[in-house]
Amino acid sequence: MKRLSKYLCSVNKPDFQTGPFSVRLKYDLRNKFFEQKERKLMPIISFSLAGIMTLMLGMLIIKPQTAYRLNQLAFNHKSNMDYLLFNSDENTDFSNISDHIKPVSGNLNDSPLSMIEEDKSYILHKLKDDANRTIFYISEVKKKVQPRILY
Amino acid sequence: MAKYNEQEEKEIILQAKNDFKAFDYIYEKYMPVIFNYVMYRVYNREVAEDIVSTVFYKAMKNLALFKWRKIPFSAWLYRIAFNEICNHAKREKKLQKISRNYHLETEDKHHDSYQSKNEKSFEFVHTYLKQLPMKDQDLITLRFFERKAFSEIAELTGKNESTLRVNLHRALKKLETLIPEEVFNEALKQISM
Repeated sequence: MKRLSKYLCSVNKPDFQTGPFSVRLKYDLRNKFFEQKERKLMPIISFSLAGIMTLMLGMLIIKPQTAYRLNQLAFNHKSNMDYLLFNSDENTDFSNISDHIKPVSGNLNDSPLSMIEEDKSYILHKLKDDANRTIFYISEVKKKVQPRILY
Repeated sequence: MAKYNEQEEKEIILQAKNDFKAFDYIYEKYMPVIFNYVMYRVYNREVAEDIVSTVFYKAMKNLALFKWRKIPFSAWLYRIAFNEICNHAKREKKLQKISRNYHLETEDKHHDSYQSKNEKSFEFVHTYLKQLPMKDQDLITLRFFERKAFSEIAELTGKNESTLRVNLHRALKKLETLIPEEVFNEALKQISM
């Protein structure tokens, strides 16, 4: 048995070269375990982006104000002029500020317009933003103001 | 190829599941080692290529399950390779039949002019070696062809060194009985020439 042991020790082991098989197997493994992942990841990203875009588009159509607020939040846009335009709430009750109109209506007493009965009241707002841009907007006063007493 | 210490290599192996660079490092380091081991065992390039492919597919698939338990990563790969060689033998039903097939195939392929003296002596041993049980084949291959120390084989197989020494002794005895005396003497003459 010692002879056999010695013989086995003296056998020079051949060094087998992997050759092109090594490259081929590496390529196959890469395709199987790495590129497949990338291939799966791309549609997920695309679908997610498409979903977000659809959601934003839907929001823009259904609730533009919310979309606008989101835009404000996202881009930190400080100009409040545009925001006011979007936020001119038509349901605002201006009846409580009818007193403020009185001085104006007082002046009207002297004009020929005082002879005409007031059909509807409006408030004209003049707004200025930080950039000194001016905008006017008119709000309808729903509640009729007190009829002026003609002297 | 860059060399890393054990801790770095451990991290690389953990990354190899998702990082191609880490995988590339592992592949370049261990693929030739495993390929040579499988070739020593089956001595047929086509079969070895099939087995090595399966070994690396399985290793990559189960890399997340691999845990460091004081045994090297190569031991894990050797274990997969050993199991695949056994599976291959089972698939072929009878080990003896495979041996004959191998013999015929090796005769066809290795009678080329480029066959070296090394390969001839290796082929001679392999002819008889493949008639042994799989575990004995594995032990002789690791000890004499892979030139591994008993401590390394113990790491790879999970057995203690003294058991391995006894097993190797028995395996060599079996191999000795398989080789006819006159054929062995002839082989000894050839190797001393």
